[in-house]
Amino acid sequence: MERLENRARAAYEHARLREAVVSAWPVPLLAVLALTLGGERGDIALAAAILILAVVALRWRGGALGRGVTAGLFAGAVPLVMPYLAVGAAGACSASCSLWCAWSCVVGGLAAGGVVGWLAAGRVAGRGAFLMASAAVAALTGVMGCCLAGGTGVTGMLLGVLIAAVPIVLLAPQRP
Amino acid sequence: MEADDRRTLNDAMARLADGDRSAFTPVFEILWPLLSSFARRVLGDAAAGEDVAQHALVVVFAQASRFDPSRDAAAWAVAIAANECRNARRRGARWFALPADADARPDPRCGPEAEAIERDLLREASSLLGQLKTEDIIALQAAWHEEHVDVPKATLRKRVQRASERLRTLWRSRHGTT
Repeated sequence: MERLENRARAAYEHARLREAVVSAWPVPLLAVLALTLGGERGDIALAAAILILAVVALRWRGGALGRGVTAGLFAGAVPLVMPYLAVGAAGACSASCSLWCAWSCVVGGLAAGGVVGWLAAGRVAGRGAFLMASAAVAALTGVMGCCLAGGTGVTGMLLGVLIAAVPIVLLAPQRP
Repeated sequence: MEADDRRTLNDAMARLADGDRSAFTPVFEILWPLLSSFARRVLGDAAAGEDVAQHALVVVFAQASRFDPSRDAAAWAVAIAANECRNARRRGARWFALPADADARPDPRCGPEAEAIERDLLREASSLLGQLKTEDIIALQAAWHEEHVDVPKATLRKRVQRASERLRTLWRSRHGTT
C-alpha cells in the first residue's frame, strides 16, 4: 500500500511540475518583446531565466503563491514597456534619455505595485503569499525592460513596486 | 459511499487541485477502497480489478491538478476508473479474438480433423488466458504479437516467462498434461 501511495504521490508531483513548466510560456514571449524593443540580450536572457524558474517554482507549489503568477506577469508588463516608451518620448522631447528611462522605471514599478497590491487586498485567505509571489514576478518581469536604464532604473522600479504595493494592501478595504 | 465521506473527498480534492499537499492522504484513503471495489465488480476478477484500480488511482492523482471543484470528486474518479476498466477489457478482448483469427486463416495442408483439433485447442487456450492477470495477458500479447510495451526488455522477458508458467500450470490443472 505504501508503494502505491508513493507512486500516486510521484505521479501528482510530476504532473504538477509538467503543468508548471507549460504555464511559463508567456515569459519567452515577454523576453522577445523586450529584445525587440532594444534591450541588452545578455541582461534580458538572465532576467528571463530567473523569471522562468520563479514561475515554475511558484506554479508547482500552488495555492496563493501559484495564483499570484498571472497577476505578476500582467502587472510586470507595465515597467517592461515603460522605458521603451520613454526612450521614444525622450527623442521627441530632446530630453536626457537616461533620466527619462530611470523615471519611467519608477513610474512603471509604482503602477505594477499598485496593481498587485490592489489584487492582493481583495483576498481573504493567502493575502501575504499572493502579494509576495505577484510582486516578485512583476518585479522580475519589469527588470527585463528596466535593465535598459541600468542599475538605477532597476533599483527605482523595485522600490516603486514595494512603495506602491505594501500600503495599498494595508489600507485598501477587503472586497467580497 | 457515505455523505460525510463524499463531502470530505470533495473538499480534500479541491485543496489538492490547488496544491495543498496535506490533502493527499485523505484523498488516497477515501479513493483507494472506492476504486478497487469498483474495478473488482466491473471486471469480475479480484486480481485484475486490483491491478486496474492501482493504475486508475495513479491516473487520478496525475490529473488531480486539473480537477474542477464544481464537480463531484467521487464521480470524477470513478469515471477515470471506468475508462481504465474498458481499456483492460479491450486488451483482454484481443486475446479472445485469437481463435476467430485462426479460423479465418485455415492451413490448407491440414485436413478437416486437424483443423477441428486446432480450433478446440485455441478455444481452450483462450478460455485459460481469461483467467490470467491483466499484466500477464499484456506481457504474452506483447511477446506473441511483437507489440511495443513501455517496460525494459529484460522485465518484459521475465513477465512473459512468469505468465507462460502460470498458463502452463492452469493447463495442467485442467487437463493433467502440457
